[in-house]
Amino acid sequence: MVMSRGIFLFEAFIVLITLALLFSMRKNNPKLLRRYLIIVIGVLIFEVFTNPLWHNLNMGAIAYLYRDVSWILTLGWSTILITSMEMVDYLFPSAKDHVKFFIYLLFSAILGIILETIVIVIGIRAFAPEIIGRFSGINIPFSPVPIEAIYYLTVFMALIIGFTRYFEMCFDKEQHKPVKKRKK
Amino acid sequence: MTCVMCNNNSVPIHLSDGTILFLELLMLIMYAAIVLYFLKIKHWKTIRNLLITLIGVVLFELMIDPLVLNTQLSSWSYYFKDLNIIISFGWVLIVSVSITMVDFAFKHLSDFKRFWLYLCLLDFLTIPVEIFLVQSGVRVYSQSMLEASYGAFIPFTMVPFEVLFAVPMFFALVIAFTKYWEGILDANR
Repeated sequence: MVMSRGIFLFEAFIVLITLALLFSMRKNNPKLLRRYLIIVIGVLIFEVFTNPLWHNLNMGAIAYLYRDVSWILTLGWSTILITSMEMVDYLFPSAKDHVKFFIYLLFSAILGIILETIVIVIGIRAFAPEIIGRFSGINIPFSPVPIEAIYYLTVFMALIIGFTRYFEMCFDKEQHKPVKKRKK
Repeated sequence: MTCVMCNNNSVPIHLSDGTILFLELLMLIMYAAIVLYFLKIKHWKTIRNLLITLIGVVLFELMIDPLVLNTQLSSWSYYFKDLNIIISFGWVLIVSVSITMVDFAFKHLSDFKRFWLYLCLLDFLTIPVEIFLVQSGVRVYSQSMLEASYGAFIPFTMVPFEVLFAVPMFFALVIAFTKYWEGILDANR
C-alpha cells in the first residue's frame, strides 16, 4: 500500500483538527462527547454497510478498521457533522428543531463537499463500478466531485443527524425522568 | 450474479408473470386498504407517521440503490430507476408494524430499549421476505456487494449472511430518522 506525503498530512490534519475542535467546543456543550460518540456510531454503521459502494485507498495500514473502512475518514465525517451542529446551535439558539435540522444539513453538506473534494484530489476516494455507472459525468463546478455526491452527502447527513438527535432526545428524556412516585 | 450463489443448496423460486402481477396487486390493495382505513377514521397522526417513514425509506433506498436491484416486477410499479412502489411501501409497512407493535406491547420500556426491539422485530419480519424476493430473483445483489461479503450464506438460501445484520443496522438509521421527525412534529403541535 503506497501512502503519499499528502495523504499522511491529511490523516494527521484530520486527527489534530478533531481534537482541537472537540476541545474548543466542549465549553458550549457539556454533552459534546456524548453527541460525538452517537455521531461516530451512526457514521460507522453507514460506512460499514455501504462499504461496497466506495473505496478508501492508499491510506496507511493503521488507518483502516474493517476492509477499507477508515477510522480517519469516520473521524472526518463525524467532525464535520458535530461542527455543523454545534455552530448552528450556537448561531441560532432559539430556532425550532425542524428549522435547525435543515440548517445542520446545509452546513454539513457544504463541509462534506469540501472533504469529498480533498479525498478525491489526494487519491483516497474511488467509486465502485455500479455507482460510476449511475453518475451523469457532470462534476460540481471547480471540483472533481460528481454532481450526484450532493444528493448522496445530503441523504447521508440527514440520516446521521436524525439518528444523533433521536438518541440525544432518548437519553435526555431518561435523565429527566421523575424518580418513581411514592405510593400514597 | 446468481452463479456466485449456486453452490449453497438453495432452490430458486420461479414465479410466472401472472403470479408476480397477482402478488403486486394483492400488496397494493393491502396498502390502499390500510391507508384508506386510517383516512376513514381520521387518524391523521398515523397518516403523517406513514409519510415520514416513506420519506426515510425512499432516501435509504436511493442511497443503497446501486447495491440491490429490484427486477422482474411490472413496469408500471417502478417510479425511479429500479425503485419500486411495491417494495418501498413494503418497507414502510414493515417499519410501521415493527414500531407500532413494540410501542403497544412494551409501553413501559424506555425509548432506548424499545429501539432495540424495533430492530429485532424488523429483522424477524424482513428476513423471510428478503429471502423470498432474492430466491425468486426479484431482488438481485450487485457484484460489488457479493464480492464484499464473506461468502457465507443463510442456509439453503442465496442471501449472504451479512444481510441478517445489515438490515437492522441500516434501518437503525431510518427508524431513528422517522422517530426524530415524529418527535419534533409532535412537539410543534
